[in-house]
Amino acid sequence: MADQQPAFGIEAPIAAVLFVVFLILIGYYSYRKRIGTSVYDFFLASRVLGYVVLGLSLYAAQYSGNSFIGYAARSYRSGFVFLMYPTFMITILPFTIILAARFIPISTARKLTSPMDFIRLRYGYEKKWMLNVLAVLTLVFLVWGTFVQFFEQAIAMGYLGEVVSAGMIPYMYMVVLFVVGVIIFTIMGGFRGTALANTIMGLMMLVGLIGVLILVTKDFGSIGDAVTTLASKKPTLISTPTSLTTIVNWFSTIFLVGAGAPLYIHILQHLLATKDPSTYKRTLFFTPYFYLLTAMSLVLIGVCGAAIIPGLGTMESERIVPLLVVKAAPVDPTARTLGLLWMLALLSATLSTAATTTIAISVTVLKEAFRAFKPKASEREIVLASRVLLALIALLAIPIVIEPRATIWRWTEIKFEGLIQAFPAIVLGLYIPWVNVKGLLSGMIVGAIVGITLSLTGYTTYQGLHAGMIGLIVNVLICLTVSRLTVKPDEVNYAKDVLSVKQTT
Amino acid sequence: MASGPAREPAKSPVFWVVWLLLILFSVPWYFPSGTYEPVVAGLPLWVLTIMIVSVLYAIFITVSAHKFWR
Repeated sequence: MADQQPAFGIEAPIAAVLFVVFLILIGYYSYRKRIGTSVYDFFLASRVLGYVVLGLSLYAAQYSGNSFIGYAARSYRSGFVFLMYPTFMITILPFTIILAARFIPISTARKLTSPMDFIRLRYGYEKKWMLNVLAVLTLVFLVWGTFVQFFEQAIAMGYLGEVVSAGMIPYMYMVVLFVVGVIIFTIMGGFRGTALANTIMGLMMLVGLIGVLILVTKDFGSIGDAVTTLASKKPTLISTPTSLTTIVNWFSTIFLVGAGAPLYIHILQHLLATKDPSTYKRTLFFTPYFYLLTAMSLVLIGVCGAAIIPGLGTMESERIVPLLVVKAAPVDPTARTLGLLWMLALLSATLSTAATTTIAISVTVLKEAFRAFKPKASEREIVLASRVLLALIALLAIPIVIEPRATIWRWTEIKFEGLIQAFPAIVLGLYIPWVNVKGLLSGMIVGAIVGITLSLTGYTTYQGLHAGMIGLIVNVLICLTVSRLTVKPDEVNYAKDVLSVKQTT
Repeated sequence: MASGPAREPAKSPVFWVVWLLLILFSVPWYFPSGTYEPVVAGLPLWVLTIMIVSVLYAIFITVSAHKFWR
């Protein structure tokens, strides 16, 4: 990194600081106006703001620093085989449709405020201690996925800061700076007003990304040129997969991410607070194309990067997007401006995702804890305690992030392999009234043991199938079998009653 | 807001069939392995095909949200 010049002058840190201050001011304003004084209100904003903000907010939540930095890097390493990326991102949407079609009407009718409220209501027939075990286990999987999503943001920011400053801010310092920044930002209430800012930034990020792609191809040759270069130097990057294992892995990834991503706690919170299914339905006029354009652009950037800056090692390639911006910036003043704009948008999306994930985790966990130990706690007490917990959660990420040990993509796989184990409790529970706690618990426990054992014994994939997917298949099979064998008629009637909410759109 | 008997995507066989077909054809198992030829408009044909399937997939979501979900 020593031979590089910083991509931007003093304007970059000044713009970044001013920008964060601006976001905090929006948060302070919303606090003064009593918008979002509770976490529920924060998410409730989507009810007031309508489908455009809901759609953009969900888009910004699914695309953050990890995808903008790590997934382009994966394309750099794998080439066009990573065209699985647009498909798995779009697959999140039909899975969300299936979830939302039942989840939104039930949560509106029953006034649910947390994903755990749904678990406790849907499976309320069961003995209390078993219900508690199910709630805790589901929470562990949901928190795991959402927590990894948080620290992936820190890794992405670390790489971005290091490359853009030409190594003047080392990765480690950048990570610590980011985590401390998130804590201050969230405690000052900055995150509350960012729902709207975040959606605008999401849009800006998309525009900036496509702009960067156009400028990179303008300055360094077209995508066709990149294909020609790779055809002679590294044809595997543009060729079809050579093994059945890769094809199976492609399908496995589509289902892993598609079914897992709607289960992030902050995504479930969005759905919980959506007024009715038609508000979510309207978002689908534009979100599929945003998901598609973003993922496709990142794959093309990664592949072009492989032609423009070849030979980077695995961990070094994680820096490919900022490296391209740095390379284009001195050549082209438009690229410089667009690059700066794109980085501010990326900063905003990363910061807000980090803030939203930490607050969603801390409040959901604390609500469960207070329910068990201090049921009459006020919302104020919960919010206060959540600030302490979120600082702890953020700090907990530092030791993992300082030495990432795996690429952002590998962390993504691990994240979804855990998160997806909650799929039966939430999605199957919405559709199959005879799915019960005994089935869910046995499925989750055995499924998780299978997945973790495979991973720890070196089988992160088997014939291309992710360990977590094998775990999920075992999980679902056991869940359905045990439920069928143990369910009581009264239990089915209870579940039917809970699920029988008139669907209106 | 119109109320009445609900139509959900999950209850429509057409939704499931089209969805699974789109996923099936978004993976290039039907191309010869380990090749990038022919190249069309600067991109390998298989890449262009997968991109077109992805666009159809996105359109399918918009259409199905309004056709199968009422």
